[in-house]
Amino acid sequence: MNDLEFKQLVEESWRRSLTMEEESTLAVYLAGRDAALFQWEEEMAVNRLLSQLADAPVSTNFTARVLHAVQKQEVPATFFRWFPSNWLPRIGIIGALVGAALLSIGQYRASQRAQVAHDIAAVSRSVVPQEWLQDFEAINRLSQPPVDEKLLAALR
Amino acid sequence: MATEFEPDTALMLCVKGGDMHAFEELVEKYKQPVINVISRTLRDETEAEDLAQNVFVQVFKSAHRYQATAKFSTWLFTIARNLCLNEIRRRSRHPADSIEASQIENDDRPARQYEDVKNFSPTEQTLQSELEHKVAEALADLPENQRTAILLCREEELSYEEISGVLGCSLSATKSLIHRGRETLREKLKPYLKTGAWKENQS
Repeated sequence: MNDLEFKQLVEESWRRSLTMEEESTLAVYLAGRDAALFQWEEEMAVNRLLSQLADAPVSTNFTARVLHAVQKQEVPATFFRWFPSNWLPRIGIIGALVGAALLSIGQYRASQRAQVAHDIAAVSRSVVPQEWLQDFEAINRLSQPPVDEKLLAALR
Repeated sequence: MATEFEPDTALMLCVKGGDMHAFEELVEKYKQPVINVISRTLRDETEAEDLAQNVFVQVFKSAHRYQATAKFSTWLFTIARNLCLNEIRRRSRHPADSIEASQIENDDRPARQYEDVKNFSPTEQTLQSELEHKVAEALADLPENQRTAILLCREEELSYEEISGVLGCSLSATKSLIHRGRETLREKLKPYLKTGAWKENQS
């Protein structure tokens, strides 16, 4: 055993008791190494102190209380089992895209309406000179083509 | 299919499928180590039980997300640690409130409708002893990550890889945390260290 293996064994002793084989290997290593022996004994002493800690008390009905609490949660839990969690991001992205599309359509329509309203207002604001309209009826009549009496008679 | 996994993972996969008996088995197996860790972290045995209950409820609620690649105990103690940290933060904001008080507002559970008898084993009597008190005190004074690392070592004999998974740090950082924590304990508990016992056992 070398110093690195000794260090690894010390680390293992923090988690579990050493096997007989490990202990005998260690005993050979520690023989004549006072500093290492002192370190090992202190590690063991700390392990012993930590093992003095008793278990925290647990109510006899603890499991029953947990199950009772869980049964109250079971309905939503069952629902979410049917709703795979990997769908959530996809649904979120699709929702965001649909929302963005609806928003842009709404804005386009609103801008169109605003444009039409603006044009109507511009037309209504424009002043037509009165002399342009005074011969309107006469000009309108002149532009009417004469009735073709012969054609009408033939059709009859 | 579940037989390919370690027993706890197989049980957790059954819980994922809605098996309440499997869940009960896991609660029975892990209630003591979870309550121990929480109790040492919060230094409050009464609230440790309530928080441990929340841990198991959280396990059940998150069962659909459980992946068999993670060891169950690592996952469980990660949840326990996160809830402990939340509780410590909550206590620092509202020092006078207990978990019980905050739960009652939102929970119609008859909290003590069952028989509530604590098991007082003979070893619990030693809890009052000076030595145990001093050890508990020295542990409680450690920084949270050092204390949790040492407790996980002691409670569940988790591997260092698993402890580093719970703490969210590297393997070397985990070993360093444990080493530094033990150094502090050694300093604080120097008068109580009985060296030489191992040597006596060997001879």
